[in-house]
Amino acid sequence: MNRFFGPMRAARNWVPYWASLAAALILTGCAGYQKQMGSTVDAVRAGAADAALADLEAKNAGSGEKDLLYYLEKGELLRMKNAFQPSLDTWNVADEKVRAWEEQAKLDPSKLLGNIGSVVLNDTTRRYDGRDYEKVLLSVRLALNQLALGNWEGARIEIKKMHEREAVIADFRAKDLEDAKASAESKGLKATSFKELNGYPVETLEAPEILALKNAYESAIANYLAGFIYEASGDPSLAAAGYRKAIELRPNQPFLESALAELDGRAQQGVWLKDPTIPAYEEAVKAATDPKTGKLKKGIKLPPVPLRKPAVDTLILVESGLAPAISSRMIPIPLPIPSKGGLQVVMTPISWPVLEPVSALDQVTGLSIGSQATPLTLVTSVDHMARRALADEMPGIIVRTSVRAIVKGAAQKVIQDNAGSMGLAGTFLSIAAGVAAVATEQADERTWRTLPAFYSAARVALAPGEHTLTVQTPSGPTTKTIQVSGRHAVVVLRTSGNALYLAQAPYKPAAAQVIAEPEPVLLPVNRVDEKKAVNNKAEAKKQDAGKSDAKSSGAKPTKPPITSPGTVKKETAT
Amino acid sequence: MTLTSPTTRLAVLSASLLLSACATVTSPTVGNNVSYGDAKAVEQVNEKFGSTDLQMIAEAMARSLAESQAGARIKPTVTIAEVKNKTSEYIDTRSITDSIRVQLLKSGTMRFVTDIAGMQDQTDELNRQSQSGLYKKSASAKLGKMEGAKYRIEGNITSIVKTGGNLKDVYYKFSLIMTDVEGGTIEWADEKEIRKTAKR
Repeated sequence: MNRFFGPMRAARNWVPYWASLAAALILTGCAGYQKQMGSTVDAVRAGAADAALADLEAKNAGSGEKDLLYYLEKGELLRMKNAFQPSLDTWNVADEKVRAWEEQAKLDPSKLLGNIGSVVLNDTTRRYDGRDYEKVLLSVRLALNQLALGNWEGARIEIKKMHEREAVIADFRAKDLEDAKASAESKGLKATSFKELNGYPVETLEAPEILALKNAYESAIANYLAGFIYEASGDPSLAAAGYRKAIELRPNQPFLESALAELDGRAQQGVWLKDPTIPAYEEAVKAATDPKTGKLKKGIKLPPVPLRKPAVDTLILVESGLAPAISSRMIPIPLPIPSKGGLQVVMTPISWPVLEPVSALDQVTGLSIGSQATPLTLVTSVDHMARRALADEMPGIIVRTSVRAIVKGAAQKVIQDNAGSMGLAGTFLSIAAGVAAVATEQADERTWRTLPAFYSAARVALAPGEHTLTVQTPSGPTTKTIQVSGRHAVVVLRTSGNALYLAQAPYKPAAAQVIAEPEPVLLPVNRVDEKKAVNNKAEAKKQDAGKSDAKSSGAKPTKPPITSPGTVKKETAT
Repeated sequence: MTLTSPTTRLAVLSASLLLSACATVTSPTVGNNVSYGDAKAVEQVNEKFGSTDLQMIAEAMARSLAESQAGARIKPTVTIAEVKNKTSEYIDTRSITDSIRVQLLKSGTMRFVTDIAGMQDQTDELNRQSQSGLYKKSASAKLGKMEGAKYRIEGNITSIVKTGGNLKDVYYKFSLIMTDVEGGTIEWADEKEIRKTAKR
């Protein structure tokens, strides 16, 4: 130690020493998030949610305040374990942090746009506020947790909060872009696009499906879910906006288009299961009808009028994969570094964030309900959203990183200029500063890793009660038993490795009671009176059944005895 | 108690004076971090559908509807059906029709019967009173007394959004029609247009 400090004391020049030490200190950095999360992510991939949670907790042990990412990751792992209430509580803490960001974005966005720490050190020193799509998808996940707990009102509130969040993000992002442009101009920086970084893997951010996205935070799945929740709460006008927006964000998908096209029909008539005997009945009516008169032929006995039964309008979401990881990649760029002789253009090594690819195999394509294959549509790729988010953030990152590199370059210059007067210590310090300048350059790798990469969906009319769902995963078909009741239900399946996690609303047997009513079938003229009689009889029977059900279980009849034909009962949450 | 005796009159007068005096006292406030604004103030935060749009539409439609019934001897019974949202914005059209209904009821030009959205609660209450056996027969509502609507009001809201350079132009059109339920004839129709332009 004396050998180190001795010559420095001998130099008796403390000013350059402290300047050099300070310069060396600001070159220190911290470890990458991907390395930190590696074992947790591996456990999730292996389908071991318990082990992943234990690993996450071990890494975050200590009394210090936990950051947003900890709560995001923990909430996801708890949800996988079907611990919906603890997951909701955890994500509510994360939501508080995002709301604090929203308040700051609304009241004083300049504080969020400029961040001294990130300019001097690196982006990992910034408080992690979550990427735009993460903030919005947090609302989606909160809504899904509320649904898993059977709280449709709570889910509606989360969706409403999501709309407000999207509006705040839109305003902030516009300001961020303006700020990045202004900063770049004032610093004389020419490169503000990732396309101008020679050696950057441009293709990771420039695929057509990424460019086709309207922005990085609005997703078809969020808006479709909003539409479904609004429809279930008896708000078709709001539901229409949700479905329409989902179509705009992901056009030409029959799954999304049919939700809007059939909305009026569902709102007015409800969702019914068709009696499988209907085709045979229609054939029988056709055969018994005199083609000349359009009336029933005499003496022919028709089969019983088919019945229709109320169905549960069921949204099946299949989540798969993990959101893409971000890694650091060193690419040198020419920067004007201040020196004694004025500005010198120096090739400066800078660490840039690069999104790692996700496996397309993670995407689930096959779904069967019982033995019936059901088409599954990819509604949202979080992978694409993450890439679009990074592409949108890159101008700001480039400006911050370039300014930081200039500051570091100037700091190195101070050390080198004073190294001669500090003897051996100066030499060490100069070498250390040079090494640190490269080693501490760290792109911001933080991102919500346990978030699903793909959201696929199907919508089916199911009979109230039990059904089996089979999903084709990379490890083969996996089956889960679900139970649905009420008028609407949301069932969420998540694949991870060999594991298939299920989240569904609590089953209410009372709400699963089925009361059938005659199927409206076009009848020949002289059959109409007979049909009316059947209708009246069935209606009377239904009313009786409804009354006794209501008395015994508190359940309401599927259709009230005194309502207009278009009446649809407000959602009884299941 | 009657109001004829001088003592009673004096007591009522004193109570009235006391109440009116209380009403003029300014309410105490707690903290000063929040301020209350005028709910009718023109809102120009951004180009999206806002409170001023809702108020403008409701006022225009209620006025037009009231004028259509001016001079009518009998207040017609009306039900409000759905106003379809054909925009991509999350506009709660029920909130608009609620405001229209409030203004028409206050003006006393129309009577409103239970709409489809409220029918379930209405029938539940009616059934409870008439069929549960819990209520006095003389004071409970009876089945078969509900009034049907003479007119049905329905409509839609559409929008056209255009963006060019740093300008965003949004045009809203709110259309409402009133149909005679029995005859199927459209007895009244009106629309309200709103244009909003915002600079980015």
